[in-house]
Amino acid sequence: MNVGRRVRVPAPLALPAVAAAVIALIPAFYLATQAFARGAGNVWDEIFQSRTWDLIVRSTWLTAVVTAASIVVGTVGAWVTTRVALPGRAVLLVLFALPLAIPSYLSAFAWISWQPGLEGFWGAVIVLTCACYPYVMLPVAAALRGLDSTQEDVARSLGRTQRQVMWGLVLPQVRPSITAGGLLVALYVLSDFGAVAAMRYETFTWVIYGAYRAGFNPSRAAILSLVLVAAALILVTLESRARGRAGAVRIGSGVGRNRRNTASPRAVVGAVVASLSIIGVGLGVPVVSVISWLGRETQRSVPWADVRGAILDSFLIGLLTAIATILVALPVGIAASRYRSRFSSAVERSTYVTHALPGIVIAISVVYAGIRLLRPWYQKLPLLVLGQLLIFLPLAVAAIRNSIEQSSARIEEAAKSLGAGTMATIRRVTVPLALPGIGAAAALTMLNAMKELPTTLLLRPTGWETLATSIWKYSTVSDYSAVGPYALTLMIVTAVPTAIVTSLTVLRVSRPSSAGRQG
Amino acid sequence: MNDTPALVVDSVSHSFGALGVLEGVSLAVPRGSITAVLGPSGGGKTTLLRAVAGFETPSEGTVRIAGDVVVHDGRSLVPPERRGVTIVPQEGALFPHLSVFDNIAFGLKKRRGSDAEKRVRHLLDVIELGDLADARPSSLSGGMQQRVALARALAPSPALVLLDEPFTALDATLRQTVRDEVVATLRREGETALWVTHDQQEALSVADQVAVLLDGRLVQVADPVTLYREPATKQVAQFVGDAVVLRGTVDHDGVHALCDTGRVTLSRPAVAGPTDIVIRPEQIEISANSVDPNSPSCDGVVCSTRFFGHDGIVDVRLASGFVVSVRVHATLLPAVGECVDVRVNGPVLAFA
Repeated sequence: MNVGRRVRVPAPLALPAVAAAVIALIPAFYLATQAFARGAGNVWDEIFQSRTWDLIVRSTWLTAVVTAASIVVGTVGAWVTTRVALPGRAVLLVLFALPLAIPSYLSAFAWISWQPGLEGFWGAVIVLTCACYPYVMLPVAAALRGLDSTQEDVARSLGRTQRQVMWGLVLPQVRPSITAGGLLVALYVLSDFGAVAAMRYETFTWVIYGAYRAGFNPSRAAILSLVLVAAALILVTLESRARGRAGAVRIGSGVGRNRRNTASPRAVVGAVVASLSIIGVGLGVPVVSVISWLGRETQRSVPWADVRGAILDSFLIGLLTAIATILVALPVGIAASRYRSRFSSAVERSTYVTHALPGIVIAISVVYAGIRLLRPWYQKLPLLVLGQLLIFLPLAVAAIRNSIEQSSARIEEAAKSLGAGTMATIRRVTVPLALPGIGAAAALTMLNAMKELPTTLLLRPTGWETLATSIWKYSTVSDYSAVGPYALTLMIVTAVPTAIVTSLTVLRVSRPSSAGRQG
Repeated sequence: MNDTPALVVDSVSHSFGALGVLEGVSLAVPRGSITAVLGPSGGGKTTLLRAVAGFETPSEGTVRIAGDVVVHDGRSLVPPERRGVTIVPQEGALFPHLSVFDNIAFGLKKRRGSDAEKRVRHLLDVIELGDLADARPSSLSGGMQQRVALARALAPSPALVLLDEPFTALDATLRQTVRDEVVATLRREGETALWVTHDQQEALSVADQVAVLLDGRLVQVADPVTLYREPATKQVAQFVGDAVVLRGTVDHDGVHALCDTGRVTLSRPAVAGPTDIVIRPEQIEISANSVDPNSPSCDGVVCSTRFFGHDGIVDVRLASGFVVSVRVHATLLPAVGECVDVRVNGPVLAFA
């Protein structure tokens, strides 16, 4: 019923929202400026080169293989955790989701230190698939759980076999979730820097980093970034469309009740084998490798002061990034959810632009912006926080928007009718109600910022070392015994919160009826 | 001064895109009265209410609250928070992060201090939830939540309280009780209320004045008795209660008519000629007649019966072939196939 309604975003909200949009557009602007610095002809020359074509083919191939593998592993994982009568399936789902918490560069180094021969394409495939299949598994598991089980009962009573029900009824209904997850995986692979760099497989991100480090041709880095952004933009567009369809499927279906799980011996044995393989490859190898690195630590004593310093630096950067990101995202999220208009959706979309920019691209464009525009901040903390903020802004805006939309707009209308003005309503009702969601967004931003590599690598202030950059520094020279303490700390710091968040989500999703909206 | 109505809606029209939802609605709500806006869902009731509250700005017309113009010709002059109009929404919409006490205190100018405390305590007593001041809304039953929503709306002493189908979320038995309590509270506190509902029984039983809104137009505004006895149109007659509609002819005297049930008296004079006759089921009385159902002296034959406990509905096929539904006392339910005499008590309505 929004047709014809004129909504004006109140000025105290509109001004910071516009500021957020402008900040979010900085990287795109500087990227374009830098790319076209030597004229449009140079851009075409750089793109239409056999080197560039090689790069496109290699990136596409890697993306395709990892996406396909993630879809298979993720769908199997979702099926095992929702449809097979295994004890402790909730724990299993959390274990399956944990590889999300391990940074791709860390697990890549873990694999190489164990099997140096894996370096290259297949190594990158294994590492990226392990990092990415949860993006397919979590939505598909949710969709499977959300399906109305009476549909399946009806189909069985109408003479379909279990197998026919699976392929003809269940799979078509979860397909939108598989598609959405798969596109997310593709986007991740295209933007990933750590795994391909560690595996020395030349894709866009690594070559861009190389071109930037070489320094003599900054416009080549920018031009390659533009090509990468174009591909990412296509994926983002497809992904948001697919997500819309996935959502529609779940809204339409009822709450699954009295579901019987498959207990046939074949299914159970298959599920156990699949679970052990997924956990072994995704979690076992990195964890065992990291622990074995610690075991090598015999000749030298652990430089505890350096480790402590890295923890503190990571923590401080994460905290500042989280605070800054939430402050910038909050007005946008409120405007987008409660004052829907052309203006607010334009602002919201501007903040999503960086979603299509891989971390390495954002880092490079912030370097350019820093040199041109924010000279005093160059190689200082604020510029690093800005770079991180740009990476995590889209996630934060979406999370805040979702958590605000969880509560009914009627509650805010009640507040207004009781005499609370616009800002008072936001302060007294909107924000307090969305606080759990805002807090979760802040925590997630902080975690991600702590393990983020490319931006930190390029923008960190002189003398700062985070856990991520320390791991990078020692791993690139294969000094794994030195990496051990940093790697273990990072794993603990990021895995524990991820486990908690996932289990909370799993519990909430599996009992949708009790989480009904407040009356 | 006190004669100024709490609310005056003057020629208000509104549309969503090409879809007109309100057309020239005019209504006055006197102070201290309860006005019900009755209409089917999609009839524009909620839009009217939101226009008064300030969440929707009607494209035409004027809205005055306590004499002050708040909307004029497509412009909202006063934002919702300064209209002095509070709402009791459908699902209560209590603030889940605040206690019952803080919910009720939300709209007070000063939320701390002894005056606020006194006001909230008073309202808690009025809604009989004095023990639950510190409870969270989620721990209350649906009926309790609605009572808190009412107390919250009354706390700032508004010029007008808007109730938006406040009890649809409650089950039937609870609805009756909570409704009685809410009406008693509104009456005791001398509040002015605009009450939107699609339930004609609710509208007729709670309101001093009922405004019937059909397809965006106010078709009739009247007290409940007048509305039921003398509806302005056939649609209103059918909407405010069960109705039997028969074809008939008005006599030349203009006060009698002939229809399938025989000669009836009209409640108001009508133009002679063909007409629709509207009879309330409770006006029709049937009595058993032992004649053969096929004989010409038989008024009608029972074709089906429905038993509700305290009463029942009997469908009678009249000699003309037309079937009328009659409400009868449960002990008087005839058997299917029996012949009955059909009599119409009191005056009926004619709509040409």
